[in-house]
Amino acid sequence: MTSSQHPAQSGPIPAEAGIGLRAPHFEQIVEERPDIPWLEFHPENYLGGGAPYLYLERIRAHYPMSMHGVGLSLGAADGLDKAHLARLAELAAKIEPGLISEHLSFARVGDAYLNDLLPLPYTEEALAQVVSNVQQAQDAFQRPILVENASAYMTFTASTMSEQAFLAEVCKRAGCMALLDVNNVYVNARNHNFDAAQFIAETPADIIGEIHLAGHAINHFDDGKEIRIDDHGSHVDAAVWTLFEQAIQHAGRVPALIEWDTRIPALDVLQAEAARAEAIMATQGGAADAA
Amino acid sequence: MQPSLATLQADFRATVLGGVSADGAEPQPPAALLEAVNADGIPAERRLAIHRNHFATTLSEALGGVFEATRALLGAAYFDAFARRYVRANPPSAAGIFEYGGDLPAALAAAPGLADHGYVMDVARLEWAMHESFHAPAAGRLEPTRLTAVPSAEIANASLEAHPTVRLIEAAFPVHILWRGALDNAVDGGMVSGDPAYLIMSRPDLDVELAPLEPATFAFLSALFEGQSIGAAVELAAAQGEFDFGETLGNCLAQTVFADVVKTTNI
Repeated sequence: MTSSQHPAQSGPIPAEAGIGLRAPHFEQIVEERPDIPWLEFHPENYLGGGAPYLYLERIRAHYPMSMHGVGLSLGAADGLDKAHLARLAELAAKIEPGLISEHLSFARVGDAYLNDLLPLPYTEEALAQVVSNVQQAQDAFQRPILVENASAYMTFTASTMSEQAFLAEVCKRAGCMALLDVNNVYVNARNHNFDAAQFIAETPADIIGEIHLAGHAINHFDDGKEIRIDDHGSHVDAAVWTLFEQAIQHAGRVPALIEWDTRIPALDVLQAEAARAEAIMATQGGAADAA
Repeated sequence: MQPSLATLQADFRATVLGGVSADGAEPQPPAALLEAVNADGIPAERRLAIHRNHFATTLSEALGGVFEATRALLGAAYFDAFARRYVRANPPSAAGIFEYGGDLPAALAAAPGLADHGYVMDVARLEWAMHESFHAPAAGRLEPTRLTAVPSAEIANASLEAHPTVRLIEAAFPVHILWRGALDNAVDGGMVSGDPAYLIMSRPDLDVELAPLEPATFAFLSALFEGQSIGAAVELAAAQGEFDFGETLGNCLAQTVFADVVKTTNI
């Protein structure tokens, strides 16, 4: 794919607050071209090359785009699905996203996709497998990717290291960067009773290439216990905004993103969330020149 | 001894996909997985159930979106319960959820109690065809000059390739009227009687368009898209009734129907 076929390339992702691209907003974004610094898309929705892909192609002509996979299964015990990886690489070659990211989790087991971001044990065995899978992905994309810390509703007795130590080691060995999801940090800290601020402090600042923000839900059980669920279906929690301030102080200005996937609101609600993130970055992270 | 990563993930798969028993009891996760999870105040079963529920809920909701009219006809409660069983028995084999659910009309047809409701399966087939058309790759349509460049003596032996977004659907009743009625919550019993439907759908750009065809035109296009030559397709169409090849071809070339003409001079 030559640049002459795509005169308006999607371009690098600025260190500003972007928004997750969702189908209900396609038409509005194409027609009104709202002022949004960058957009993130889930590649799995565009692999057919049909109408959703046509929207994506029209939107990328005007916005920097980041490709955020949800189905590559970086934690899969038997390596990556080569056919799926090839389709992703083909899409990336067409859209030319500024960043490519995926999750520290698994989704595929054998021939079944479980449509989820399932938790990994933090063991040497899992570390070696994730590193190998990330390298396989980076070979296909011909560039480093970002790996996101996932939310989890359980921990494993086999784990021998913390999630932040595991993520840092993946980045070190595979040469990738971290996508720090501060909502996931908070959800896990509440679910597994650790200090969210310590998680962020212990994540090396120089590996944090992007930050995600989203809302979460609380699942209350009859016996009074609760589990926080990362459903991306509401405003960012007040405690998560506080963690975001800390993360920006720690990592400096990096691209930040508002994710909203269930009960998707009007675009201006997302823009208001992004403006709030931008205000925090402006006061905590200095000028918008650190991309 | 801790299970290997592969064993842990296989046990997770078994837990997520395990079927609910006839009396509604949830299946018990493998013992090794229960032992591998820190209970930490909340039983491992309850933690794993979040993922079981997420799988069934997100995928059955996705299917409910694709098969919206089917769901309206069957009732949301029936469809959702059916879909939750279907997704566990037929998990996605690809990461793109838009590719998931093509077997659902056939699975519905085999569902107990629905044998007398075949019209619902026709609506489900129509909805899946429209979903496929929506996601099919964009492509240009056949330029008439490509066809006029074929020497007239070779036209009968040439064939015409379907545009990737084209789907043909036939039913014993006006399935598109019932489909529309179900979406508008305005179904009446008369919608399952009436003349057979011969439908074509295609996507010129962003939106899928649906249109009825004459039976002869439907027979002509069906034959072409099965790979038959133009000459053979014209004969089959003429057997259905009055058929004007030139007029039909002109209409088709003005719409998004063909992608290309293929010369097959060796047969």
